[in-house]
Amino acid sequence: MKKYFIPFIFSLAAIMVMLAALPVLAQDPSMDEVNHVARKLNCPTCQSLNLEDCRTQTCDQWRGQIKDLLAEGYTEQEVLDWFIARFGVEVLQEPPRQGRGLFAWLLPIVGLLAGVSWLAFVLRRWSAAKPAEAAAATALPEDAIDDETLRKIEEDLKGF
Amino acid sequence: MTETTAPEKVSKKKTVGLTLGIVVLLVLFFVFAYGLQKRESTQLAGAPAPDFSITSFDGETYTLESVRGTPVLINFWASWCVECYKEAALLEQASQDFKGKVLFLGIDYLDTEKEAMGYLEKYGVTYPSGPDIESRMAKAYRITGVPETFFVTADGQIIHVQIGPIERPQLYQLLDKLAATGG
Amino acid sequence: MPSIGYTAQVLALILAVYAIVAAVLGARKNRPDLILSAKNASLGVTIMLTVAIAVMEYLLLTQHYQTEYVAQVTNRDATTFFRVAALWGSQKGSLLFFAWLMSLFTGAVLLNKWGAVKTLIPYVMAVMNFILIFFVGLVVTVANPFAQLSFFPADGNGLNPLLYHWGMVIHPPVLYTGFVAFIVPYAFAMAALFTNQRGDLWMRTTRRWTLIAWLFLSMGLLLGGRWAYDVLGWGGYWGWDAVENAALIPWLVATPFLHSVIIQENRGMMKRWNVGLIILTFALVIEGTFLTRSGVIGSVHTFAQSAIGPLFLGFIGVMFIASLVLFVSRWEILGSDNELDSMFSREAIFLLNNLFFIGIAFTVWWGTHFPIISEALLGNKIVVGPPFFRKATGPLFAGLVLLMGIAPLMPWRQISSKKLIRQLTLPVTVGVMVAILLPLFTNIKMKGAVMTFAFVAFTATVTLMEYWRGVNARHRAHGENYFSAMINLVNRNRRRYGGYLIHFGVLFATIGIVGMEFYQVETQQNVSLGESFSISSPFTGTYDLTFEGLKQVPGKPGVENTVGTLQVSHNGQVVDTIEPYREFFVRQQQPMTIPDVHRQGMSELYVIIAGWEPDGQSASFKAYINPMINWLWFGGIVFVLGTLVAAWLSTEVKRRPVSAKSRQGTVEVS
Repeated sequence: MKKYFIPFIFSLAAIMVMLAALPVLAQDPSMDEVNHVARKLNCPTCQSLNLEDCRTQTCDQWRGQIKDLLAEGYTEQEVLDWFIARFGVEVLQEPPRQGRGLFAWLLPIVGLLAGVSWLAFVLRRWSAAKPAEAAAATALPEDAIDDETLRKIEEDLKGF
Repeated sequence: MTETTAPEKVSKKKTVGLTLGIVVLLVLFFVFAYGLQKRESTQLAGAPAPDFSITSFDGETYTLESVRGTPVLINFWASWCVECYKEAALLEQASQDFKGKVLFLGIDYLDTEKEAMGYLEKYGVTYPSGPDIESRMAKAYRITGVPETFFVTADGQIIHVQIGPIERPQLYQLLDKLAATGG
Repeated sequence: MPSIGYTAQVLALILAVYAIVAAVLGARKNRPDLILSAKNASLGVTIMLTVAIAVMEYLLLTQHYQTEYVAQVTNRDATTFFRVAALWGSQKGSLLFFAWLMSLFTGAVLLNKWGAVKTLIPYVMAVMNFILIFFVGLVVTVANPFAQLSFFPADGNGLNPLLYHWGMVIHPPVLYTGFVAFIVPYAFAMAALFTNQRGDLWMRTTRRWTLIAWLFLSMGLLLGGRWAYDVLGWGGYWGWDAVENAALIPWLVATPFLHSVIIQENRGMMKRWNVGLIILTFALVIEGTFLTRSGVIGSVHTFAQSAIGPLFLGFIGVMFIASLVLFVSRWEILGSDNELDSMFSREAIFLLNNLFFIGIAFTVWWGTHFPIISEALLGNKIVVGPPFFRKATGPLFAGLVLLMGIAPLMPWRQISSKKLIRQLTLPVTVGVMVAILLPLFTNIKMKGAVMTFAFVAFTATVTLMEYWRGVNARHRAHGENYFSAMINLVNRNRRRYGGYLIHFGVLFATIGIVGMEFYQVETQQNVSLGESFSISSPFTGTYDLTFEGLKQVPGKPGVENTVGTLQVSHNGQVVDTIEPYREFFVRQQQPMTIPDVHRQGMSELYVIIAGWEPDGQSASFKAYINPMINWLWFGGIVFVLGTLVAAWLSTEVKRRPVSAKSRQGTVEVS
């Protein structure tokens, strides 16, 4: 029995090392997983490219950083938060929905609501001013407008 | 025929509309004018050094206040910056030559820690270097790229701004000047 | 030789200034001779700028590197084709090119016989020359393309690698043409406001010019998208970048104009809208030009901020305030002849249409400007990227698709709800069926995609019904067979049925856009020689790509290409070999990633090479499956065809303004 003791301990140690290494191996993030997060960040030195599509060395390094963080078990949001803390909120592709970024989202929505309410108000006012007419759709004779306009042009030309 | 409202109401609407339009345009022009402003580091030459707070990779914190009384060389660099390689060894050498006379501070711009440490190791950099969190210092110093080096006297005046890598003669000349300002 | 070019520019400037003075004086003092003189001077501007362009091309073609601009945009390796195109390769040359294109339109305006709106021409000239003075002034002062170096360089720098492709060579001229052509309706609008015109004759007579401007702008945008897809290598066709948006926003304002002008012609309503939209369109063209050339957006990495920025800012200040003041002061004059009768009318729908388009335009404008606004007003810079634009504008675009289908059903003034329901039955049924069947029987299950496709089906049905009704009416009324009925129908109502064809183009394009935005898949993999990776999509099946080899080959002069060869298998069978490559421009030290594609039906497998080991033993590839992408390009072609049909000289215009009664020839109000 004694002659097997050392190989046994050795094997046990090897197995334990392998087991310890396994979680890291199992978690090695794929390029696609890295790209999925990189897509949400900006390339730091480019004009309007995101971190996924950019092919510079800086971007390679940054994607490597994402990979390391994912391998350590960070979730996607935690990776993004890490980058924001480190490099500032301008590193995000999409304005955050709080703080100053909220204005980016708010104004178009406010504008649209304002436009729709204005439209509703105007339509109601205009159609209230005129009593409801006959149900049949009528085609308006265009002649009237043309003549009127023509008359005015002729008047203008007289003075020329 | 057109508006059923009275003429005064219409002209009031017009005034309001016009005023609103002009206000919006003015705000827009202000924003554009602000955006057009040239904000470059070279404008800081001869001016007081902007405040900063940097924590080095070793854990030491340096602020403008904390380094007052010592001349400082502030060098913005990055591990991915090809031009920075040209001056890295030179800067390290100079920091040794001027040890005790001029403080060298490396500011790591938009960089990843792993590669930054690799860079420092490769060029044997011993002077303190730290990451520029949120690029606050880069914005304050208005850098337009890396490398950029700022020569700050003991009482906080920037005597020279170097865009791009620096050559030995000019570097030593400036460092002599800085050292003379120290106590 | 360069001095000839420079002198021509200066002469153009002087002539433009003179033209304004003479035109305004001539109009005020009733002096036809002064007006004629102004007209000649304006034509002289066009001629002088043509001379300048000719000289510039000569310098480019003869490799006159002492001219700074030539050294900047060409080098010894350049081919003739790209030497010519280098004219618009960088700021100064493209400014001159822009001014020249503009002068071609202003010249064409003056060579045209205008008949009834002749009285406006002096003021039109004044406005057009005012705009020209600014751009010519720039190239005469701070952006002179004829500036000389103090020495003669042996070689130039060369064109930006991004521009070394045919798409990018056609795209700027077409796009610029679209931009500058809007000066015509703008100048007429300003002239009409200034002279207190109430009528809309000027709007009718400039309608074709506006349509042409819009056509070129649309084509420019489509070409830009196609170029991005073919050459930029990130698998998409629109990046929502500031420069792209600067071209899109005017289009988003010009399109509703083209629609609501129909209301004006038929009911004399929405005049304020239309004048406002025209002014806004051109103002946005100028603002967009300012944005992209002044370096205001995208600060650190664009051209050095020159004096162009502040000068441009001053110019748009004057132009915008003048336009606003003039517009507001003539507010009453622009009142409508008629009132809106009902919420259920075509007028109301067109109003809603305007609102949607303006809403999208404002959203895109806001997102584009938010970074500088946030920096200037709120302290720190917040970036606005594609995810914002997609989320914010997507639903609105889908709404537009629906509106495209509702509007033709609405007659003028009003409709009874009973009639409306009758009209709606078939299209709504089709739409609802699509909404139910798609998720059940196909792979299209995402809510946004299903809804958009339902809208597409609804609108397609309505549009087909429109054609059917017209053809059927002709068939019954004139006894024509269906084929000639269709021909005659379109012929007699080019604007309407050409317009519907444009709508079909939009619908086809929407299919492609939905496919891409909702169902694009991608993967990036590292593979060694002989190894394969796969990518699959429910729309195309599975592809297996095997890395066969890497090779370095010389490309264009001064360019080294690294080519990755991949064998493509589909469902186990080898179907193709594709070779995406990386172009490396040695002199500029800049790479371009060029994709290769394998088409399957209307979808595509699209691959780029992302990286490689120096020994060529392994490489990293990025593969995309782009479902239905070719519907986008097909839709674009139909769109352009439809515009050509709608714009073709129709008999209507020839008859006006002799007698309105001759319009009885047209069956329906269009």
